Amino acid sequence: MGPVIIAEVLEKSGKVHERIKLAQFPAVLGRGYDSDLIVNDEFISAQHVRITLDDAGQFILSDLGTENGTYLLPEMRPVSTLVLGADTVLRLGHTLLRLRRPDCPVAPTRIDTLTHSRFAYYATSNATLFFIALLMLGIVGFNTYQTTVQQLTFSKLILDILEIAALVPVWAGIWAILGRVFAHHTAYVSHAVIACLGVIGFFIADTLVEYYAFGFSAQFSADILFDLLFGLLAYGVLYGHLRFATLLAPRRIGLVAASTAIGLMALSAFTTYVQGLDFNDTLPYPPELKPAQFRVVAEKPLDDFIHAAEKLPQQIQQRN
Amino acid sequence: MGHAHGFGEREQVECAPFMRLFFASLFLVLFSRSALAATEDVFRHFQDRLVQVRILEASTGTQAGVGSGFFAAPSGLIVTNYHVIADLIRQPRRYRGEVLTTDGKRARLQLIDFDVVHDLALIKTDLPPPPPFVLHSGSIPIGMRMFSIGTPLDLGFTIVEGTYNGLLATSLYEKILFTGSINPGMSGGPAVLGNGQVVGVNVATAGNQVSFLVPAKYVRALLARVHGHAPLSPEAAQAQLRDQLIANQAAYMARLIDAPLTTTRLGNYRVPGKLAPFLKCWGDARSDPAHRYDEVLQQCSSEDDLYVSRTQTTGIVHFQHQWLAARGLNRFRFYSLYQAQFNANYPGLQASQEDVTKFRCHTDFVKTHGVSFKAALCLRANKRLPGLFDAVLKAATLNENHRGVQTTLVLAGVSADNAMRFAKRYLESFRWVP
Repeated sequence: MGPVIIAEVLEKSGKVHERIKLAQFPAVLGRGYDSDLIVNDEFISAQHVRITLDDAGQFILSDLGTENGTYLLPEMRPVSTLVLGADTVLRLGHTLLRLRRPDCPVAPTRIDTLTHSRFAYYATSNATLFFIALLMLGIVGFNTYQTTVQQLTFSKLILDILEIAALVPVWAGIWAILGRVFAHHTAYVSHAVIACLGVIGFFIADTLVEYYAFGFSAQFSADILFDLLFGLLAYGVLYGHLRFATLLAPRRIGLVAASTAIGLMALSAFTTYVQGLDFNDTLPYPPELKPAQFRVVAEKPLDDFIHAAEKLPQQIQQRN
Repeated sequence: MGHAHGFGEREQVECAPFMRLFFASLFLVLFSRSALAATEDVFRHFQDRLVQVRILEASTGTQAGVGSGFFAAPSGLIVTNYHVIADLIRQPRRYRGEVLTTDGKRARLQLIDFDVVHDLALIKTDLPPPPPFVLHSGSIPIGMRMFSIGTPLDLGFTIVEGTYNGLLATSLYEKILFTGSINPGMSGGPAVLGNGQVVGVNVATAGNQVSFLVPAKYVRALLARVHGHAPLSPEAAQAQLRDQLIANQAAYMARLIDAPLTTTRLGNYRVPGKLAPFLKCWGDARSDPAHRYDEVLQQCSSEDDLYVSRTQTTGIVHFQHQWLAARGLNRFRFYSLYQAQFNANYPGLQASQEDVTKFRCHTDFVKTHGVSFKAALCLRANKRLPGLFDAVLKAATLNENHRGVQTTLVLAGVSADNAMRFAKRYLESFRWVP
């Protein structure tokens, strides 16, 4: 086989839109139907550039005196003739054209960590989705049962479960569409598994914080703990979804997920702060009540309680 | 009981369906009593001693509130209610006051003295003083005919006939029960006998002819302590307001704290009951078949709130207990109900951002006399009345897994020390009777 050059029409993102191998020289690139590579761009001339092979075996590109010219990237230098190297990117009209010789080196093969991860293995399985979804429904249903003091009917229980459960397929669907766009696969099952894990995680975190707040009669630290757990959960869920919905490197995904989670936490803290600025006549005490077995800190004698409360006037004065 | 205050914030609208009834009965009264022929004589004879007290928005001179008043001393001092002129103390730059006589003369008024607890104020104008009303002393038989005079709903000077029904038996502050229609705008007007002697000052109504008067002896006391007629500056008035409220809370809180611990049974607990005669207690029980728990409520209130300003009432003593018992709920389900009930609700503390700070709470587990509580004691300070606090105590018993008592204590306008002492006494009076 004689010398060849590979001509690639690139999209704005750098993806290859069209690729042909040029083996006959001189070759002409342009909008005209007699060109060797026909480029559909109204800013390109009918015959835009010609590539010739000289005696020394070098490829020479020349602009054929076009109206809009030919430019060498990345510096956007206008060219009339150019000796092609192993890798040349040009701009013709509004089109990016890459010309590569067969000896142009390619980047090392990217290792597909997703396919190799155990998590991905389980997360893509229908059986996992089935069990995780069942677990989620169970937890949501149990929570409804525990927090209802009316006569609980089966239909009410189902309705309460559905209110949360119905969100999961919608949420997973949105991520699947994003995945289809950015990573060319839907991975619906994986997104559904991650959504279910998120719901389960939220219920566990919420319950943990409630019992912590009661056990230690704590409010400020309970709020912090809740924000932290919520942030961690947001990080995990976002990381999982992005992993399946994009082809970004895991480290990059971690960064995006972490900064989003931190942003959410900051927003939550800021909202609390702004709300606290307004006058209100609510009583800021932790309202959690659990069976006494879950109390961790010791009960105080009444005198100690009153003695501690006697500092309130001073604290109020410092605040105002 | 609603204060008979100026225009704009009353229950006129709700009264409307009864207006026809009201006119009908008034009509009947006029005819049936015409033989006695005293009402018109009383009014004609004393009308020059009456005034309407007007609170005007200072920049436009438009009416912000109206009340009534009467000349009570040869020097020209006029008696009215504290709540009629409270705007002049709270916002002296935004409001000014004037009086209007029955013959249409107007004059700027000046505040001389007041008694916030009994809701009285003394004001002065530069009008030539007419002969004053004479204050009645001595006893009056129940059922004696009386006349209340004032300017109800700003409809002009009006005289209302009614009967004397003695002093309220259980009120914290002495009040005369007057069976007659006192309406908003009549506040501060006199209630007189047929001979024109003042028995009391119109102050409030509970509607349907149930009205209240400040006994004349408090007017006499207030008149007696005024030496000279120097007007009270807004700063001095504010300081005096604070001093009166501090002295008053000291008195009634001492009665509460020193009273023997009266408890009543609620579920399997003993809880604070009618700790003092001035508390009124009510109870109720709920057992909704759709709910899997029973509920019994008890509450006691002083019902003697003190009007401080448009935005603030104080002097409230209120507590309530709620007994909750599961009917076939497991401990977690019961406690999710128990927690939902232990929210930040508390009844009736009225104050605005200019009046008070935000609440601050101390929360902990407390054990006293065998009762385990989760308790939160919350305090907020009065900004304009330093040394006075609003206190709310919330506590829930944790002795059992399927039933318990939650309690709320509300004290408005007390010293921090009294709040602490009473909160302690209150919590230590609980008993668990398993």
